[in-house]
Amino acid sequence: MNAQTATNAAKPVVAEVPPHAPKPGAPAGTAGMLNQYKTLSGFEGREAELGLSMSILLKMLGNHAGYAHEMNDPLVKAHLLAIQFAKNNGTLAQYIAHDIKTMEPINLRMKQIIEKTGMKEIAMVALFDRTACHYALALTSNGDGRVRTWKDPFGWVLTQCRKIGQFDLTAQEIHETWTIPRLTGYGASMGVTLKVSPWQEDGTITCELVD
Amino acid sequence: MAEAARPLPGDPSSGTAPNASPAPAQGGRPPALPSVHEFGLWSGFEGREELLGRGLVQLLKTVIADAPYQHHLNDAALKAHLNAIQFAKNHGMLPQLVAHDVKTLAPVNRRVGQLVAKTGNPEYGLVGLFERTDCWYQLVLEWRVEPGRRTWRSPFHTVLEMGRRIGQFDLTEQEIHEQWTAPRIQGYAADIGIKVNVSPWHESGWLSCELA
Repeated sequence: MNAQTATNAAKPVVAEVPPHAPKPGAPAGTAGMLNQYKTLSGFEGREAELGLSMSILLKMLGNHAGYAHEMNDPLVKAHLLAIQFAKNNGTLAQYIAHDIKTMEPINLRMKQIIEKTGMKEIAMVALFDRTACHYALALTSNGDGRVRTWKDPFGWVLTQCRKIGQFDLTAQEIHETWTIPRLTGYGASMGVTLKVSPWQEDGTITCELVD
Repeated sequence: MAEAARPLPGDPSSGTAPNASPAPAQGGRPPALPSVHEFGLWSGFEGREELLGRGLVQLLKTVIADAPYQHHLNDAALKAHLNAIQFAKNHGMLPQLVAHDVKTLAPVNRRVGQLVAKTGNPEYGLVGLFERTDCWYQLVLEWRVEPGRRTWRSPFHTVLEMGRRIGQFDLTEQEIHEQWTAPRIQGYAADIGIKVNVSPWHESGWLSCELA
């Protein structure tokens, strides 16, 4: 051991231990400062919920019976069932009106927020980024600002289910007679104008805020 | 001698790798060596990483959403069902929606019925109704399996209560059980070729279906 080594042993290096970035909604004061030093997943206290959900996810993706199931399979089928029922009974327009009315309490609240802030893009966040009814259905949803894009979620399941006679709907028909009028209806409730792309063979759908 | 880092499949002294089937001993001979593929470790999601990632993102977004209530993975599916049930109720068409649903599922249920008929085991019918179908297990998060019997907690309570507060629905869980869930299960069971008893509504929300 030389003199230099002995000096280093006596004065250990002090490591950097920076706080994490504050999380939105974190408590102020000492508690908030302490929390910044904790490494948190954001799921503390929700481990059971997370574990149960993971179990379902793994079951879903492990299911290849008939076809490879995606996470949105039951939601897609629930929508298909209702749309096919309404189509068969000639009540699809009424069903869409019912759906838009059902969502009105939330969409009217969003309209108030848009009017208060002047930020029309909030309508896009509300429709696409905040609601499980969209992001659980359209697993490829992406975009920001005034535009969102996703791949039609119905075509895959429809192709499989049409083989056994469960539905006679097409993905294009759903896009034109269900998706577009619902989205424009939600937009009207929020006081914004939305433009939804026409059907494209590759299933890509775009929705744009146009005012 | 250094210990092997990971037990070798088929090595009786070291156990079996977690994802490899143990190679059976044949007539006292040492078990067969694993194939090259079996020797590797696999998640089962190779080639489907994007699908898994998308599913995880959806899961995390849903579970992290705790305003105005803790969202569960079944949130969107519950709302889709409630929307359709409420619409059918408003138009006096709920029995027709149930019949439409049972008819839609008939091709699948009749296929399960062939399995029941071939094996003579009606338990296959219950598995077909409950454990095997994602339309059940992604919707109903609390449930138990016993031979000849399935028990579950009606999943609609939280979403229904929240929706009723803002005037989205006037349905009750009891109404859903009696006019939607129970007749659908009975219809599915008839197509499968089994007889079941579905419990009447119970205030706890815990319900059951058992082979009759």
